[in-house]
Formats: sequence, C-alpha cells, structure tokens
Amino acid sequence: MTWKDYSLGSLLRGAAGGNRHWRQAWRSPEPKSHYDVVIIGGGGHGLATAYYLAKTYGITNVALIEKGWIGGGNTGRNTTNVRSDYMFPESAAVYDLALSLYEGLARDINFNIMLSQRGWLTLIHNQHQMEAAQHKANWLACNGVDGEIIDVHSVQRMLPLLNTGPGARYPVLGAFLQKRGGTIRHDAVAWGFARAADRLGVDIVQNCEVLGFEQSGGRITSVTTSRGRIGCRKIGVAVAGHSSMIADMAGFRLPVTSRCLQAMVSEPIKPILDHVVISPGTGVYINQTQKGELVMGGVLDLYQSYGQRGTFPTIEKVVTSAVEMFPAFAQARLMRHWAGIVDIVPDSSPIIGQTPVANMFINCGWGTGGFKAIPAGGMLLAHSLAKEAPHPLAEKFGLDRFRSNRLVDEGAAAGIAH
Amino acid sequence: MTSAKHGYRLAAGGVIDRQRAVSFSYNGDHLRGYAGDTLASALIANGVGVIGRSFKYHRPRGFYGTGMEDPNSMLAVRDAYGFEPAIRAGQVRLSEGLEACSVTGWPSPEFDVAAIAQLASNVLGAGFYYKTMMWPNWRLFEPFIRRSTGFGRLDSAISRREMHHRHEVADVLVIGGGPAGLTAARQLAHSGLKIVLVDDQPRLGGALLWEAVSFDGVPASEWVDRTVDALKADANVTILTSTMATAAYEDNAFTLVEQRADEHGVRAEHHWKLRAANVVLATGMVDRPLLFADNDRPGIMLGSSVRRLIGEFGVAPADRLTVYTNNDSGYLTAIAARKAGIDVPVLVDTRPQGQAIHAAAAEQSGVRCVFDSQIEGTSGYKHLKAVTVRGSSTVESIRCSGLAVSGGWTPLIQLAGHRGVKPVYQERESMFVVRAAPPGWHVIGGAAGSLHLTTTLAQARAAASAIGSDRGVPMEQGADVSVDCMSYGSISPQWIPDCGARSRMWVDFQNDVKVSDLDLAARENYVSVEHLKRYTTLGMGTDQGRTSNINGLAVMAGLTDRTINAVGTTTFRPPYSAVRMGTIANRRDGDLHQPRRYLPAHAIHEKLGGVLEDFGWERPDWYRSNGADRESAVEAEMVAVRNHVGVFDGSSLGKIEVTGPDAGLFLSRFYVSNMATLKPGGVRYSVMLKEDGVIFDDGVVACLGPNHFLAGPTSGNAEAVAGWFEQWRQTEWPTMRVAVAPVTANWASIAIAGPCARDLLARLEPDFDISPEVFRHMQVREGHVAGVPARVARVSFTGELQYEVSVPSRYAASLLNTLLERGSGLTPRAVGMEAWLRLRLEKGYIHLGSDTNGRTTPLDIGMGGIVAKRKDDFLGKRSLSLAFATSEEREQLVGVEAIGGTLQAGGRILASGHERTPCPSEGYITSACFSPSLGKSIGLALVVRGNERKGETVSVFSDGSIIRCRLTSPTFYDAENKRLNT
Amino acid sequence: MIVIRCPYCNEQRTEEELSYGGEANIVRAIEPDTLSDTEWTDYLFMRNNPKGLLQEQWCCAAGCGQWFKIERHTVTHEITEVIRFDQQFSCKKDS
Repeated sequence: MTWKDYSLGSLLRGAAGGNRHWRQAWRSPEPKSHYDVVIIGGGGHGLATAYYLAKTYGITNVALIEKGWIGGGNTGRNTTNVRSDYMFPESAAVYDLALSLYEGLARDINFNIMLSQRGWLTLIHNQHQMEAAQHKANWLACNGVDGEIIDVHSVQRMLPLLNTGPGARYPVLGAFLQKRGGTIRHDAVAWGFARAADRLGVDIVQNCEVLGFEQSGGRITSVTTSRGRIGCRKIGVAVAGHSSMIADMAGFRLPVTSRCLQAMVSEPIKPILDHVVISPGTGVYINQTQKGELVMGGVLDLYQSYGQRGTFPTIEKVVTSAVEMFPAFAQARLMRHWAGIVDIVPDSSPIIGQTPVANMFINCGWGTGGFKAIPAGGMLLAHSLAKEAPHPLAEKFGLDRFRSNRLVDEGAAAGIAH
Repeated sequence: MTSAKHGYRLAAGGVIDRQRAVSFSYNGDHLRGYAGDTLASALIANGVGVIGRSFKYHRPRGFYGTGMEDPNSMLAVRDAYGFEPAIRAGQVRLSEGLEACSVTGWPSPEFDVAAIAQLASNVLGAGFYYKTMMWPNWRLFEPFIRRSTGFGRLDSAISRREMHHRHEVADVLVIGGGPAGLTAARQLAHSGLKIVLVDDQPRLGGALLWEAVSFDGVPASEWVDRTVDALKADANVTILTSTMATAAYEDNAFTLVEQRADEHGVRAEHHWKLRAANVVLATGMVDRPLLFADNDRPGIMLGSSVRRLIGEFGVAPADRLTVYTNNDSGYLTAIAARKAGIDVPVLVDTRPQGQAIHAAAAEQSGVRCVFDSQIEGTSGYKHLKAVTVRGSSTVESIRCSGLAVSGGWTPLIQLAGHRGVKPVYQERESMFVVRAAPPGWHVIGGAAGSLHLTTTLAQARAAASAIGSDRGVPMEQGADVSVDCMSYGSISPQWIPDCGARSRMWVDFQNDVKVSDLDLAARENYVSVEHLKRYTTLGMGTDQGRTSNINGLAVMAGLTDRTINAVGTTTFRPPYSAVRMGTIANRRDGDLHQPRRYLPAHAIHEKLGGVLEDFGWERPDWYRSNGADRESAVEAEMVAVRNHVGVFDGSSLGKIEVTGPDAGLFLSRFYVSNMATLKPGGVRYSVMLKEDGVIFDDGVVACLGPNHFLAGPTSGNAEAVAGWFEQWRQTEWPTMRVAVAPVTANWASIAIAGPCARDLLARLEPDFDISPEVFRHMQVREGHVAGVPARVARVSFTGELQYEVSVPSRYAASLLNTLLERGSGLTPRAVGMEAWLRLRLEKGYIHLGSDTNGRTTPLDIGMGGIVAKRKDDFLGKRSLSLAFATSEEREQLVGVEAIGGTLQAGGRILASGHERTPCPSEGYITSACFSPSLGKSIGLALVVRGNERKGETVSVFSDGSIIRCRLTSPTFYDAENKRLNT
Repeated sequence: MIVIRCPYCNEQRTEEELSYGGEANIVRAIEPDTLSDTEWTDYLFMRNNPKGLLQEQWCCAAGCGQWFKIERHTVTHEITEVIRFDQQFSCKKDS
C-alpha cells in the first residue's frame, strides 16, 4: 500500500497534515496526437473499458474522451440499483459477471463504491406473476444465480410500511428476492474507475467532443474532436443515449432509439426502507439512499427524446404509485427530479462488439439497465478491443442478431426490464 | 427555554395581528405568537436560538433566513389537519395548537451528543467515505451511517387535509406578487386577458411588506391594497396566494401548489396544472451569505431576513446586532434595526468608503461604519457572543448577539432553469441572470437582477406592454409612480476572504461543506461544477443550495483560476420547492389509482360466491360452495363441465366488428389463417403476429354475414388489437374499404360448456335451429335467445360441446340468471377462471401469455402447416423465414406428463444428462395442473426441439427438487375431437 | 409536456391524451417475400434517431382516434409541423 492509496490510515495522516497531501484523483492531460485505443464516452461503461483494457489486457496507450465531465450521463443520473436476476442464460452470465465484479470492485480499484447488497424485492401481485416468479426462480437456479420467492409475511417483515392490507389495490402474494441485489453510490463508480484507469496510464480527456471521424479503407484513422485531431488504431464507443449519433458520424445505423427515463428523490427522512423494491403492478422501483432520500423511478417517457428532463405525467405516475404502495410516503417531499437519455433496442438487450467499421467496437443498447452492468460492459468491450473478437459471453449480443432475429428479449418474460 | 435571550418581540410594528394571539408548542414547551407569524418568526420572538444541528458535524444551527432559503430550521410540524415530518419553520404559518418538534440533534438541538464528530472534522472532509470503509465491506458500516442521516420520521397518521386537482389555462401567468408582479398584473388587468397571479405568501406585496418604501408619498402598503383592489375588480384575474409555482415544463405548463389555511392549519391543498401563453417571472431575489471563519454560529442571519423579521413580524433577532456587508443593502439593515431600537455597534463594509452610498444615512441613525474591513472570526458556540473585525490596520473585537450579513443578491430564476435556460454570470452586479428567456416569458424585477425599485416598476410596465401588443389587446398605460426608497446599490464581492481559516468557513450550512472542502475537491480534480457538487455535497441539501451555490461556484472559480462563467452553474431541477408526495398523488389512491373493471353481471357473481381476482377485469377465479376449499371447488367445477354442463362468464373477451367490402381481406393480413375464405356463419381460430413473427394474440373470427366479421381477441389484448387494426387501416392501407369498431363492452358473453350444453341452450328457446347437424362446431348464428338479441358461436375452449352466447351487456345478469334457473335437472354450475384454464389445458389449447412468450412463433405451436399453406402475405410472415425462426434452439410446444410427483408451472426442463443445478436447461413447463379426468399431473411445455422429442423422458427442476416427466402431444383429452363435435 | 393540436378534430391534446407511433414515413413493402433479410430487418429494427428534427406519427387516442404526423425537435420538443396522415411535410426532411 502506498501513500497515495485510500485507507483510514491515509485519511488520518492527511488530517494531521491539513489534507494537503491528496493528489488529483485523475489527471486532466492534453490529448496526445495518437493512441492505440481511443474510447469515446466517459460514463461508467467507457471508464470501465479503459480500466480493464489496461489492467486485464495490458493496453495502456489509451485515451478516453468525454464530451462533458465524466460520469455526467446516465452513470450520474440513474437510481443506483444493481441486481443480476436475469433469466436467459446469456443475460444472466453478463449481469452476474457485472455483479460479481462489483462485489470486489471497491478493493480492486481502492475506491469505496458503497455497494450495499440490501436485497432486491420484486413484488408479486397475482397468481400469474407468482407462476412467472416460480419459473424465474427455477431458471436462475439453473443459471447458478441466487434468487428466491418469499411469502407475504416475509415481505411484511422486510417492508413494514408496504400496503398489503385487504383493500390494497395491488395485493401482495409475496416477492421475488435477490439478496445480492442492492445499490451502489453511482458517482463513485465513475470516479473510482477513472482514478484506477488513470493510475494505469490511461489519459482521461474531458470537455472533448467528437465532431467526426477520418476513415481510410473501412477503418477509422483518427477522431476529430473539439480539442483537435486524435489518431488511433482502434476505437471503442460507449455513449449510451447518443449511440446513434456516433454511429451516424461513422457511417452506419443502429437499431436504437433514444428515450427519456426519469428518476426522482424525496427530501431525506429517517431510515424506513431497507431494501430495493419494485412493483410490476405499477412499474415503480424505490430505494432509500444512505442520506435518507427516497429514490424512485418508473417507466420510460412516451416518445423519442434527447431532452435530459422529464415530463410531469410520468412523475405523477411514479409518485402516485409509490404512495399507493407505501401510503406513509405521502408525507415525504419530492425534492428533485431529473432524467437521462437511454438507448432503447427492440429486445432491450445490449449490443456489444464489432461494428460495420473494421476497427470500431461498440457497447450500447442497455436500455434502462446499464448501470448495473458497468463492470461487465467494460470488460466485454475491452476484450473486443484487445482481441478484435467477441468475448465468449458477448457472442449472443452482437449486431448480427438483428439480421437473424435471434433476439434476447428478457422484458417479454419479465414484465418490465430494469 | 433558552439560556440567553436573543430574539424578542418588538413593542410595535409588523403586519401581524397583535389582537389575535396564537398558542403553539415547540418540543413540548407552550409558546405564543400572533396571527400572521410564521413558525420561524414566532420561535425567534420567543427567544429560540438553536433550532437544529448540521448534518455532518452536528454544529448548532440557528435561523439563517426567514423563508424557504433557510438551510437550518427543519422541524416536524403537526397542525389540526396533518403532519409534516420535516419542513422549514419559515414556510409554516402559525396556527392554533400547532405542535413543532426538532428533527436534528439528540437528545435535543441544544445538547447533541453527536457533536463530538466536530473533533474529527479534519478526517471527515469532503468525500472521506470514498477513501475508507472498504474492508471487509461497506455493508458493515452502512447501518451506522444511515441511522445518523435524514430529517424527520414518517408517521402513520392519516392526513385530514382536503386534496384537489385543479386545471387551468391562462393567457398570462404572473409568478410573484411583489412590486414587480403586482405592477405587471395591474397593467394587464381589465384588458380581457385571463391572468393568474400567484404568490407563495398568504399576503401580497413581497418585500413591500417589510422594506421601507413609499409610493407617491404614501406607504407602500396602501399602494399594495389599492393595486390588489383593482385586480380583484377584474373577473378575468385569479389571485392565488399561499401558492408556490413548483415547476415549469414545455409549452409553458406549470405545476402550482396552493395551500388553503384556516386558524387551525392547512385545511386543503390544491395541486394545479396550468398552461399559459405568457409568463411573467417576478420571483425576486435572495440574499447571499458572506464567507468568514465561524460564519455558521446561531445568531448570524441574512440581512434581508433581519429586515423582514422587523418589518413584517415586529420581531428583533437580537438585542445587539452587528452588520456585515459587501454591498449597500447592509445599510438598510442597520437603519431598520436602529429604527426598531436595536443596538447596532458597528457596520462592517468590505468596500472602500467611496462606494457606500448610504453611509451618511446610517451614521445619521447612530451606526458606526467601518470600511475596507472584514470579519475575521466569531466567538460563542450555541449563541454568537462577539465578532472580530479586521480593518486595514486595526483588529477589534465587538461584543454582539446577532450578526446580519449581506453578500449580494441571487435572483430566483430556478423556474426559467427548469426550461433549460443556462444562467449567465453578470460581473457588474455579481449575479447569475437569465440572458435569453424561454418563449413568451418576461423576467422582471429582482428575478432580473434589478436593484432599484424604479427599474423594477419600469420593467414590469414594459413586460405588460410587450404582452399586450403581442396579443393585440388594448392596454391601460400604467402611470409612473414616484418611489421613495433606498436603493440596494452596488456590490463588490470578495469571494475568498484573505484572513481566517478556510476549514472554519461554511459554504453549505446544512451539509457542512466548508471552503477547505472545496479546496480539497479542487486539489483532487473534482473541478467541474457537477463533480464539485456531488463530491462535496454542496447544495444537495433540502435547501437545494439556495444560499450556498453561488459562493461555492465563486470559490471554485478562484481556486482554479477560472471565471465564474467558466465554472457555470449546476442544472436547476424541479421542483423549485419540495412538494409533498401526497399532494402529487392527491386523491388518486386505491380504486382511483387504477380503476377496476367489473363484468356486466358482477352482482350475480358475487351472489353466486365468486372469489374475484383482478385479471385486468374483476373475474371469479372460483366459486365458493358448501365450504369447499379452492382446490376441491375448482375440481368440482371441472367435473361439472366434463359430465353435464358449466356456465362461464367470458364477457371480458375482446370483440371487434370489422365491416366493409374488404373486411375479410383486411383480417387476413393480420391472422395466420386466411379469413377471406370464411363464409357467413363460419368461425375460424387463428393467431396474429407482430412483424417480427412473434405471436401477439390469438382468438376466433366469426363471419356474421357478407362484409361483416367479428374478431375475438383475448381479454388482455382487446384494446391493443383494436388499436393495432385501426393503426394499420389508417396508416398503411387507407384505401381498403373497411371499418373497425371495438364493441367489447357492448356485449356480454356467457359460455355454456359440457355434454348437456345443447339441452341448456334449448331451454333458452333460441329462435334458430341448434340441432347438431345444422349448427355445427365452429359456426355462428344471430337471432334471439331467451327473448333478447343474441349472437351464439359454437366454439370450444374446454374440449366439450360449447356455445358462447353474446347478448347486449344490459341483459348479462338476466341471461346468467335465466341459465341457472332454467337448468333444473341439468345442474348447471358456475365455473371460474381457474377451472376454465385447466379444462383447456387438458385439451391442449394454448393460453396466450402462459404458453407463449416473447419469442414464440406459430411454427413453435404446431401451426407451421397453416403458415405453409398461405400463399399471400400477412403481418410477420416474412420474419418466419429469418434464420432464427427455424433454428435448432427453438422451443416448441409439447405436452408433459409427470411420472410420479406433481408438475408445477415454471419448472425448468434440464438438458439431458443433468440432474443437478446449476446446469443447462432446455425449456419450461408453461402451464400445469392435476387433471381429474385423467387422474394425473399434466402440463404444457416449451421445449427445445420439442416436436421431435415426444415420448422422451426428461428431468424437470422445480422449487429445489427434480421430477421425471414424459414429453407428449399437447392434447391429453379427446384427441379425436368427438366431444366438441357432438 | 407535449401539446399538439390534432389536425383532424382541431383540439389541443396533451401527451396524456395521445399515443405515440414512432418514426413516420416507414412504408411496408407490398411483397415482403421479395426483400432480402437485410432489407426486411432494416424495416423491422432500424429507426431514425436524430438529435434534432424528427418526423413521427401520433394518434389522437383520447380524442378522434386519427393518426397524424408531426415534425418535432427531439431536444426542445418544439413542433415545427403538424399534418394529416395523407399529407406531405412541407419541407421534405431526410430525418
């Protein structure tokens, strides 16, 4: 452990010295004229890609370029939930890889991401959902992922404020529980990966917007940016919400539309909700942050949008549903609401790997579920960039699936996908 | 109550009603205030100094402001109508019997044991938690952190507040009822335009309620009264007081929260949604704190708040008040305090004497002014005791119990920010302003950065004229009024003081963010404004940075050698002021949250003992009879259908009339089967696909006559299919001569199923021939049944002889009653959903959504032959020739029989050779039940390559155990279809 | 909050009263069998997704039930044109 490592010891030593010893968490270098790999997008996926590219694949001559500030897109706008209770084995493998990596991440990157595995509860409102939950539990067992059905009494113990009374509009028969599910401090994921990648030599270049590409022989030779031309051998793209625009600049199309997903928090209140809970009846998911705020999200806004702000009818739906589920929440005050722009793909599953441009690889299409997949998304894109071939876990998630129609539509079986 | 008395009620002054005393309690102490007080002003008048504790270090906190800008005074408040777990004291109007309690500090804000955290403040700097508590894992530490956070506890008391939704469309929305808003509204009034004026206070006037101002020689209050009278005289003007404009959205849509109070508290809340063509933003501005060491002590307050306390509430915050300012408004505070008889030992101005335009006036009222000076530090822990003033060559300690600070002004432009406006920093006034207002908006007065009332009034008149000419209405030309008041003058900010310890300078009082934290953030490269905010939690508290953000940005600009504009602001997120979630949810709870749909014969089902469940419609799952439990009742219902006759209410089944010369052709484009060849009286079952080839819906189509079809989508898809038909008709095939009319709710359908079904139908005396050789399976008839118009389809979901009798909905109850009454001897039995679904399972018919999923195509459920026969096109057909449609991976529908054990829906079929999870699996049981007819546990399953695996034995994993099963044909019951054809 | 005046019933409708149909001007082939897999799956899955003006179809769902077309900016949500379904956009944009 070096002086620069984060630990209680370094905090104490720092305090004794007036906290003057702390260094930049990551540098802000001027971009060089050429890199082996340029990664576009300084969100969680891009930063994780940079980190694993350097750490796992030993490629360190890397620039990560970000239009604004790192973690400023969906990484900093989501409801911070993580889980891996996916049914299709190919999905389960990816999301469980992500959760497993998250489980060791704080110590791996020496940055406390505050993974709180407080348990993820999907409520079961009727017999049909109960059967679907039973199927899911069985399937997860086959996939080797944890998950169980708990009865209504256990739900009442875990969520004492939940409306499970006889008059409840959404009766509760039980819940599907993934104990390893929970929350993470979202900004910490971006900052932690940035710091770790930076220490391995990656240049993180903020306020650097992509304006176009120079191509030759079906390959991109350089990226034109607001901070000049940056040459590259390979290029990785992880710009959820704006994937179509980068594809457009590179000259291909993606089966992606951009939609607005809203989130909101209440003013902080004393701890009253210890788990993450989602209701398939209302489509609303809620957790309480360490600071005491209730964080809530719901379904996508109605129409295609790049406006990073929401529409009130969706907020009304989410808040009304939260109060219907937890009548006491009527007393809490909504403090702030905001929105992110997500990539919506016909089957709500990611697209990872080769693009029609020979040396460009993409990671996009995570829909509403990108945050929970960050370490895996980074690892798989890093593999594609390093090996120019898909990672075994990413084989089913290529762009080619939209030609054969072999889609991975978890949502069709799961109700809503988050 | 408090050890040292600081705040007190002045003998005179204020717009409170001194004739009406109001009693209330604070932490159990009984106190008195006056009508017109806020909880904050009443508490200050009662000498309460420490109102809470800060978040991280548990520092004592006093009132820093008097309204929503106050970061400190969060309290739990209960009035006669409801409970607020945590609300700023300045936002609560005093009401009789109100109970207020602290929400921070344990055991009390005065004595908080957690204040020991201050000793570790060097360790607990910005973002310390990112650097530690990683081993063994965060979850170990989290409970301790969580317990210490949050304001207030929710309680289970039911609110008695009335809730209402209101909707309004206005020509002009004026936000803010101060001098700017009143002037604009006054000039727009009587023009015919519909105007809504909102103000968050119960009384209009804004700062005129407390600033020393006169108009044309009369006190401002008279001008306000006259203006309000003139507004009230116009029926097109709506004045909403105690109403907060909480958020602005596209198309000038706003949400407003209006509180209606009586002497016992907030009786009602109205949540408004309002759209306006024009918007006048006249929200004013708020004072900024000044940074200096120990600037967070109780007793330190914003200067404008001090003036408001004195002027509006007749309350002095302290008996000895120092004033600290970097602009001219500090002088107004000193003069107002002196007028109220408060001792002002010194006014400290950071600027040179030459810039201070009101210095002479202050000195005239007996205030000593010192220039080019700073406050270097303060002393006192729970109450301010003294301040240290550093001049150019002197240092002196001034004993005082209060300190009023004025660090310049911040226009309240959050609502414009909601519309995406990026505020621009204006160097001269040292404030962020709106440079380009959203379309139709006019930003005026304090919100526009005006520091002079004459400018404000001119802006208001100009905005009104612009709106008038925009909308082409005659506009009364507002007369110029001569205003007598002291200008707010100019400011010269000094963001980071050059004396005092940065680790003692608070920027964010609620979250304990200090200049040293910003310093650390800058050193660690969290220099983007969003990183700064998130890393240090600056402005993330319940005050949303109203007082802290600008200082924070300016400090960061200084630390990183950037301009304030280069640092920029964070995005303003709605709502402007926090809104109770119950106010938004309003009356939409229970059945108003999601209305229930009832069958037309609902009352009969209840009488018959139907156990209702929400299947999208409230439908009987089973019927109670003679105390039998669900399982035996369901079995009895099944046996009734198999042995004599059952009656099932299928009214929720979708019904869509498709008419016109091209109706058959039209339907053929949706269904896998060719409906164009259907003859009048014929019925055909099929599935329809989305364009990706996946089954979207199934059901029967009946041909009622030439050019007249009736499609029967599933209950759950009735609306979706009708919409789907209509969308294609309008957008892709507009030349087809066809009309689509959803009639689901118009018709009730009762199914009669079982060997005695024909006998039962006969007793209803249909006016058409129902003999088996004439009215055959998969045929439809129109006529009369039991004397009412009816459509009868002979179709079967159960595998038995079955008729589906549809009558106009109003006859549903009488038809059901008649069936049960006239059935004597046939013992007809009401059958619920569960039995019905099990009967079809025995027969091997699919239940859409159970036995199909988001990948299932007709090829997977044995309809490949029908697809192959179709020569013409239908929706989704092309996708059936894409590679995946015929891949080896496909799951196909088969039957399964348990070889010992009980099948359960959801059981996974393990890949052969595997007996333990985790392992590969190849499909799942989609439906399962015990079949009384067959005496065994059966099911349907989607299994990889199922079609070629019938007869194979497989292992099924379900709920932790494995049972053996045999794959079979899906049809278990009457494979020859003898029974339904009888 | 998107508000559109329906070109058929001439009423102002908020987004809660409307339903969304995505990109306009996607024409289904008369004979899909003659399309290549690539052409067909392009029709199925590929959609314009501009950050800017988008031509799209909406339905006056809670009103007259008619589908119509609009041109809308996907960032500001400003609506630049509203037309009936059988009309052509005045400025044919390759959106």
